[in-house]
Amino acid sequence: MNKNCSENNYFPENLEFFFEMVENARDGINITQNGVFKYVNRAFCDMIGYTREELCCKTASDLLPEYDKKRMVKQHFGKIEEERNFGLDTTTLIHKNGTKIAIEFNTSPIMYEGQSASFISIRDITERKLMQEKLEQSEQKYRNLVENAHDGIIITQFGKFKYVNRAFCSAIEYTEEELVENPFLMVVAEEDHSKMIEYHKMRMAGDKHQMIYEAKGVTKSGKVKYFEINTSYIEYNGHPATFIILRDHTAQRIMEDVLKASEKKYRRLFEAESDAIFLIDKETGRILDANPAATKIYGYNHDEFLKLKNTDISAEPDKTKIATAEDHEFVPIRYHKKKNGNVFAVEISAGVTELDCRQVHIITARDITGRLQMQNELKESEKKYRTLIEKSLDGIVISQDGKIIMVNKAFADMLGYTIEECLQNFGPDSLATEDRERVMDIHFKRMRGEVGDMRYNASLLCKNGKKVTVEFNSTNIDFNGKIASFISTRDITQQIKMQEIIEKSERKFRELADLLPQTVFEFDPDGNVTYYNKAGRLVYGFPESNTGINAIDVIEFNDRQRMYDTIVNAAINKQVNLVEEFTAQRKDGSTFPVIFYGNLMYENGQYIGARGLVIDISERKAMEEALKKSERKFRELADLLPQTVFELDLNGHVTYLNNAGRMAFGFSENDIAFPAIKGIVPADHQKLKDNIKKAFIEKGRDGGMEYTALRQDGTTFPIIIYSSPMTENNKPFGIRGLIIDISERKAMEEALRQSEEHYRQVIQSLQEGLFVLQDEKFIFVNDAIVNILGYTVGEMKGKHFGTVIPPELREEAVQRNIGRKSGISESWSYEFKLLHKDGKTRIPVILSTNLTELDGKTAVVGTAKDISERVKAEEEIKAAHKRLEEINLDLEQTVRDRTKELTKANTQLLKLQKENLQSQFDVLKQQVNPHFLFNSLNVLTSLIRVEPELAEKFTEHLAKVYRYVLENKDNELVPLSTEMNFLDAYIFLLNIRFMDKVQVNIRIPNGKMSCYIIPLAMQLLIENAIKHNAMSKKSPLVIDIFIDKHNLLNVVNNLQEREAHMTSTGVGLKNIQNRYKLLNNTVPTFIKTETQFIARIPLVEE
Amino acid sequence: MRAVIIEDEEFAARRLERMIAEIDPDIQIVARLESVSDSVEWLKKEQQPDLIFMDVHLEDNSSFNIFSSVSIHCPVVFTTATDEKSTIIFRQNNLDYLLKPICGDELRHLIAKYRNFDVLNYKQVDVQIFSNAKNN
Repeated sequence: MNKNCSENNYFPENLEFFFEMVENARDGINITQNGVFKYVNRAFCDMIGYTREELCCKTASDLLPEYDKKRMVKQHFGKIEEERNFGLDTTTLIHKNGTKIAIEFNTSPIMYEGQSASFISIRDITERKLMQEKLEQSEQKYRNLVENAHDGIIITQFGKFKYVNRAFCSAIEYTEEELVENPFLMVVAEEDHSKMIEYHKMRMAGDKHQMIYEAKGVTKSGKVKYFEINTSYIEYNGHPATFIILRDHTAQRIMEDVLKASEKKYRRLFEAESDAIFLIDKETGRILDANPAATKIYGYNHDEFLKLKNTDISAEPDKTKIATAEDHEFVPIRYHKKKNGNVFAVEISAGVTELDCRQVHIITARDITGRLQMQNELKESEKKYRTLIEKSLDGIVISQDGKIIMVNKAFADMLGYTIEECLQNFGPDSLATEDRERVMDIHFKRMRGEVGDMRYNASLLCKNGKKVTVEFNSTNIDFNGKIASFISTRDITQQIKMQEIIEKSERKFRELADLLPQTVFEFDPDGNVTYYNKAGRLVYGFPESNTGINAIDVIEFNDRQRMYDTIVNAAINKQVNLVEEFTAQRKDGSTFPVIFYGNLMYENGQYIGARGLVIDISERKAMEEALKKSERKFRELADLLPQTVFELDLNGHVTYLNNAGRMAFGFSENDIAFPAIKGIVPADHQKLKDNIKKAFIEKGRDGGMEYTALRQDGTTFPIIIYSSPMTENNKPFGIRGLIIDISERKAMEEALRQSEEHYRQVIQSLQEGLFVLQDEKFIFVNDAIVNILGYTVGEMKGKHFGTVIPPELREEAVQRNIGRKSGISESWSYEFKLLHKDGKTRIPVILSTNLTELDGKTAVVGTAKDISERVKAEEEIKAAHKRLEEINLDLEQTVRDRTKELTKANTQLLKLQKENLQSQFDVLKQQVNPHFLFNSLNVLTSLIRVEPELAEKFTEHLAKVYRYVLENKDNELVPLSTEMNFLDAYIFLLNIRFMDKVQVNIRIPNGKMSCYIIPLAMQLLIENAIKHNAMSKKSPLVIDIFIDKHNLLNVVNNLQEREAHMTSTGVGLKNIQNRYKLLNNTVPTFIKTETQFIARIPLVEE
Repeated sequence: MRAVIIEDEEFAARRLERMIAEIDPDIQIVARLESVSDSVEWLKKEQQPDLIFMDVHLEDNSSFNIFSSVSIHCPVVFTTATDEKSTIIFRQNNLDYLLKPICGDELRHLIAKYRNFDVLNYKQVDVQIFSNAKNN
């Protein structure tokens, strides 16, 4: 646009317009004349709060504050006069409300109403002033800030310092002058220049960024300083500049470096440490950190650790908790748990520190498993060695520099000291004088390191003054860093003594050996003879010197191999004793048999040779040969014999059996060494064994024992064995004998025996007397004859039979005899009477004879049955019966009268007797079975009425019975003869009562009559038999009384038992037994067989 | 009146016989038996008597055994020497018995009793009592 700058365009056309302009100007405008307001514009009025009207009367100085009034006026007026220094000025006006208004006014002179006036434009500069003040204040503040900042503050522009504060200057050691307008880079270290330039460029290019970075600066003195730079973009003098706050980081940097280094160091340590290190939060126990070693040891990785607490890795969580709480610094042993659950021992050292405001424990856990083990091993080892040394039986001494440092008990004991005494008193003086120097010399050489292991003997002095010879075994050891001597000692005093004894003894034995007539020798494992005595030398013809002879040399050539093998085998089997025969050879070549008694010697299991005795057995050999020949002869002889010849060994095995024997027993040639009992029936085995044993023990000859032999085919035959032991050196080694087959003989014997037995039985069973006559003389009588005739068997033998024939019958006897002899009749049986020994009594007998042959001659065998009793009884009974008949035939009346009288008389008699008896009965009732009397009386009662005469007889016998009882009641024993008398009476009574229902047979030889028996025993037994048995005429009770071969009185009855309804007399039997018991005699026995009841009562010899 | 004497001892039997004859001659002794077997045989064969004098102890056995082999319909007077067991049974069962040696008066008394005895009233001897006795 074209500007038209003519003057005309400068002023508006309208003056009102000017007035408007002035009036509405923003600035206050007034025109003052002589200090009075002539005109004020609206702005001015507003400015000072007065209205125009108020201002009309005011002077300008009214508006001024007091302090400025003078100046202003002066100025105003001065200005006017001096052509006024018009221009900009400031002052303060006072507002109507009193507030001060800072103004800036501009005065220009004008002509107002013909006078000079001032045209003043006023600008309210309160704000401006305030602002200026504020700005000033702010500037001041900032200046202060900047100036007094601790940090360096600089402003750089175009690479030059524009402003530097005090702090920077002092930090960088330059003055302000030196820095301002100088390049910034002068204080920057070389290495950071490029960096700085770069940044600077960026900033200058308008890159308005704020940066914080580090830079290295160099002070005036050359010191390196590290600055933290905080840069920002500002405008300075219209151009971009850098506002930089520099913080001296040097110290920090150094610290950081140190810390870094330290951290590195510690981290390295932490990392590298082979012990586990944990950082534990004290309060929670949580593991804050763990080093790799911990992972290695515990098995957890780092992350896993961070999830754990210290109690999680402890096997003793309670202890861990306590240690943590109490800040234990050192725990010698704690057991921790690995991830795999293994428990192991650790040593813990702990430190407490603070980290991030928490109490933290730094725990170092060292796995001491190995160490513990080592410790234990060491302890064990130490214990072992201590024990070794303590318990060693050898004395142990440790000495150093001539002093005893340690001894063990064995050493002390050896010398008779205590350990303390040894340590105190033992020194060179304890060595025997002769050895002192030598031993001390060795010791000090050792101290100097000049000797090694040594063994030597020396003598020590005991506490009691005695000397002991000791073997020293010494070596070097290290003790407290120096050489010390470790000596093991052994008391060899005894040993030395023993050696001397042994040497002496050996000498003695050598001398002895030389005295022996037998050869004594020794040879080594190779057979080389190391020693032989004088005898050996002479026998074999060896030279004096012992050289060059081998044991083989003395053996005859053919025997060498055998002997060699024998010895070698013995050595292999570690045999000690060896006995062997061989043929020896003299030096001249002649041979002779010998026996070698050797002792093989071993050392450490190795055969080191033999020692022994060699005895010439030539003589013995010769004897043996002769013996062999003799034996052969014997064997040949034995085989010729028809009887069995045998030999047994000690085990009862047959070692030899001749041909006859083999044939007899059925053994073949192949049967050898079988037990002798194989040829004997099992029943005789024990007998044979016993006899064999007896033969060996008693060594006596056996005159012949009978056995039953067993052939191998199973048949048996009786034998008799004659044997005697075979001895050698008075020791039995076998039995030799003869066996004779006695089958025939046995058979004969048996037949004879049987016959004899039969014969004997027959004879003895005879109740009758049996006799054998030959040449009219008695050659045999049995016992019964004796009983009948009163002679003993001895008396009868050889007696002429005529002596027993009563004279009146002799004729008859002769007749009979002739008749028999002439053969008219061979057997005879007739009644006869024989003469008793007493020459008077005739015994009625029934004789029965038979002719026979005995030993080639005729003989008469006869029996004689004593029928005297029977005759008697018969006669009596006959008489009784007769009378019975007579009486029956009579008229009863007459008989009654007569009998009445008789009866009366008898009755009276009997009554008397009865009374007598009755009274005695009371006394005797314990000794005689009351039943007996009762029964007797019963019978008597019947008899009196019926058979008075018999009654009388009955009474007589009854009286006899009781007389006997009376006479013998006080006797424990009575002679058998007496008892027999009583028995006769008693049996009479029985016969009356029972007649043919009872039969008592008594066969007691006269010889036995003098024996003693308990009174009334037989009566009781008879009564017993009657009580318990049925009896009738058809089947009578037969009671046999006899003496058997055992001298026992037998009372035997045939058994016809009736039902038991009676009071048993078991008491009675007991009574007998008891009475015998009282006599201390054998007790009677009572036996019941199928057919008999047998009571056996002992007889007592006088 | 027919009577039987069962007694094994001859003299005792004869005495009894004599005594009976003295007391009452009308009584006829028709049998003298000595054993159980004889007695049983006779009693089976013959007509039963009016009265039996029976001794307890016979040849072969106790007379009680007769009762188990043959039934006896007539009165029985037992005779016994002394047998406590038997006498107890007799007394307990009200059986007549005489102790030997027989007393004349007692015999007379019993004979009188049984002379006019009504057989039909007679209570037979119970065999059981003897087996009981045996067992006792």
